[in-house]
Amino acid sequence: MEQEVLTIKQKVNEYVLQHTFAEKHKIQDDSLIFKEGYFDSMGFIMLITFIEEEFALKTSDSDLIEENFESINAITSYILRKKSKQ
Amino acid sequence: MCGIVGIYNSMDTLHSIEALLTRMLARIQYRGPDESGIYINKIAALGSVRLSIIDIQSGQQPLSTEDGKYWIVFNGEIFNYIELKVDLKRLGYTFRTESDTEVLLNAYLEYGSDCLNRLNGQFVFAIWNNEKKELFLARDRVGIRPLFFTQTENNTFLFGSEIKTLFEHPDVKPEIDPVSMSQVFTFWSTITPRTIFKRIFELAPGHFMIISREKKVILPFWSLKFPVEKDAYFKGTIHEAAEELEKLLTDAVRIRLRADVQVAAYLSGGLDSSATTALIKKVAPETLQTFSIGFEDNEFDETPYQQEVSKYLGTRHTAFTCTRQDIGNYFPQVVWHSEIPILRTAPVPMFCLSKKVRENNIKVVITGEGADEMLAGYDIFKEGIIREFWSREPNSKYRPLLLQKLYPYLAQFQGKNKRMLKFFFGYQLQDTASPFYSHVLRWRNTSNLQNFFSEDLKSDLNGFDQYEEVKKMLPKDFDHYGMLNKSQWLESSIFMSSYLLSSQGDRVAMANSVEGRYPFLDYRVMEFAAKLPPDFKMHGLNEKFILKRMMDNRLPASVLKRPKQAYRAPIANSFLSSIAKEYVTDLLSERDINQTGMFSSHLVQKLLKKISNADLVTEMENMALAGVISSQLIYHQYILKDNFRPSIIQLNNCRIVHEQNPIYS
Repeated sequence: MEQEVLTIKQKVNEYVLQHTFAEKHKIQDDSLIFKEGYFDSMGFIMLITFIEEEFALKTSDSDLIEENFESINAITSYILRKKSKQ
Repeated sequence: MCGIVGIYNSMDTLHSIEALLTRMLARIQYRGPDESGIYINKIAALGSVRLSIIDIQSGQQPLSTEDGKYWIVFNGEIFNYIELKVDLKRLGYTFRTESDTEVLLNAYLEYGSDCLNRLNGQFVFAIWNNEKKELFLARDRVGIRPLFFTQTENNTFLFGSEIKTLFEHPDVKPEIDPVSMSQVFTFWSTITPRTIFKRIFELAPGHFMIISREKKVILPFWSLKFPVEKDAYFKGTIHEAAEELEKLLTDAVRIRLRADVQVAAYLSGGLDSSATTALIKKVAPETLQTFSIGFEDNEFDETPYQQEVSKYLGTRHTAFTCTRQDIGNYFPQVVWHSEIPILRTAPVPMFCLSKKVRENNIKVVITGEGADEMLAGYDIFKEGIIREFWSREPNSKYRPLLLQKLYPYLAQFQGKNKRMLKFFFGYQLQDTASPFYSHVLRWRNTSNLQNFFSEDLKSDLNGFDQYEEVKKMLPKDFDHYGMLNKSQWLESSIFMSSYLLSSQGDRVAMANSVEGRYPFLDYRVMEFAAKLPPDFKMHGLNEKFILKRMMDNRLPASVLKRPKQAYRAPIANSFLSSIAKEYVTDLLSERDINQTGMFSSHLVQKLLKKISNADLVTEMENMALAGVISSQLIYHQYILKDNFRPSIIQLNNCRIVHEQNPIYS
């Protein structure tokens, strides 16, 4: 289970770093990636697409709240929760 | 129409000053390829390069009064010079030329700085008073024509139509201003009177300056004002307003046709230039030449609309295609002309267009700039209105959906929870009292580009509040303007004056010796439009409502009904095309980025890699690319002065007048 968490977090981390224009050391696991301006609304849509494709998930209306995507930690928790429900 | 330069209080020899002014004028020869002249005395010198449009035979500059007490250099046109001349003749003034320059000089003699309120035109001019030993400078109401100045450590004062002239003086050293960089990467331009360079300033639009040994003052003579009291608004019906607007615009067009050369028109395919072209045909029914630009990509191209309007109005139309290659190829030259980093490539097709127009022997074009600002054409106005509407019921499911009209990609949220819309577009949603409410989203998003700045540049900016200077610009009763008027004021004062009329207007047209004329910026039209009830301009979310009413049945229905298409040009693809790729790779290389020190080389490499590989380039990435490349170019052209900097072309046949041997024209 721990391994799974690490893998998910790693993948999310990689995606965020790849798609944002910020210095690596600026983006911590708990950095608020939207609030701090590293991702905009276009970036958000692309992130959802990535999550759905990479982790074979389907996001629902009620999932799309700030708390689920605000940081790498939040995204990782969200993915874990969704997968455990599957 | 010209370029002007001047110097005051220099300790140099007359010979050095003559050489200096010659070099300054040589730098801006394209602004006035027809003639040039310099006037020098022991205290001041004035110079001009002329693009001859009115009174080609005898309107030479610098021009003086018959007694040699006053000298003028002038860039621009005073469209109502004929009417002013009648008044001045009645007051006893005599005229030796047919030029508007002489009318302007005499108007100043008669009315002093008050003459500015009587001028209907686009202008910068400098008048030297040889008795009082005083210099008077002025710039038109919205800054259609440019004027820059600086003062050296020895208190020598220099001015010029373009910044590049000032750097010909050895004591004027170019240095990038970090605050200006932050402003460009937030507001898309600097906030007047700043330029991208330290210690170099512009004379703000609607201002004049008086310089003498005793004083240096800068004072306003005009500003865009919106009504505060209910009864200050226009009182008639929309129908009556449309009639009055037509009357004013027709006269604005009529006087802008005054020239001793042929006048043509730009026809973009949009409502504004279609309207100006229709009005030209109304005033002067003979065959009108129109010009436009087309693009290879359907996303940007408006050719079908252009052709339809040309056919409908019966103009002799010529269209030029601007390829991605062209854009990449000419970008460095355009940046040299704009003298400021730019976040878009849109000025480049305008440069290409004026080049072609000139090759067709046209010196003057009438275009539709100003309509979007004065009559509420832009999407950003809708954004403020939608957000304000939403803020009154912030939990509404439906109100934020209106944003999909502005951002079609939001349709991907279809059926999904709308909380994310609020998250992104609800930024400071309740803060409707903020003066910047309409523009905060754009400014905040753009300022994210500053992530690309180097650590050095970021630390130079530490603690700086970029909204401070904008707050100082705001008129006293700004808080009493409604939402639409506030956003119009901001867009006119910042975007239009500092970017649109400059980098996308004057600079790229004058680069090819073409003069643009703007009926929507006739001060009578601007003042009338400002008094209109907001819903005459933005009717619900129907933009430029009154203009559409005015032009109903006078333009093809397709043009009247088409949704607003922002004028844009391709960015990323233009820089990846063959010619551009070479200089772009150089400028964005780690070595070069580190040399200029303005950006993070790691992030720039990442950007370049992503753009080269990705199918989809976001708007922010496009702006980052254009912004970084143009900033690098400015550094190379103005500070390193290397092969990116055009060499100076010798100024020929310059008429030089020394005070000791006066030749009065």
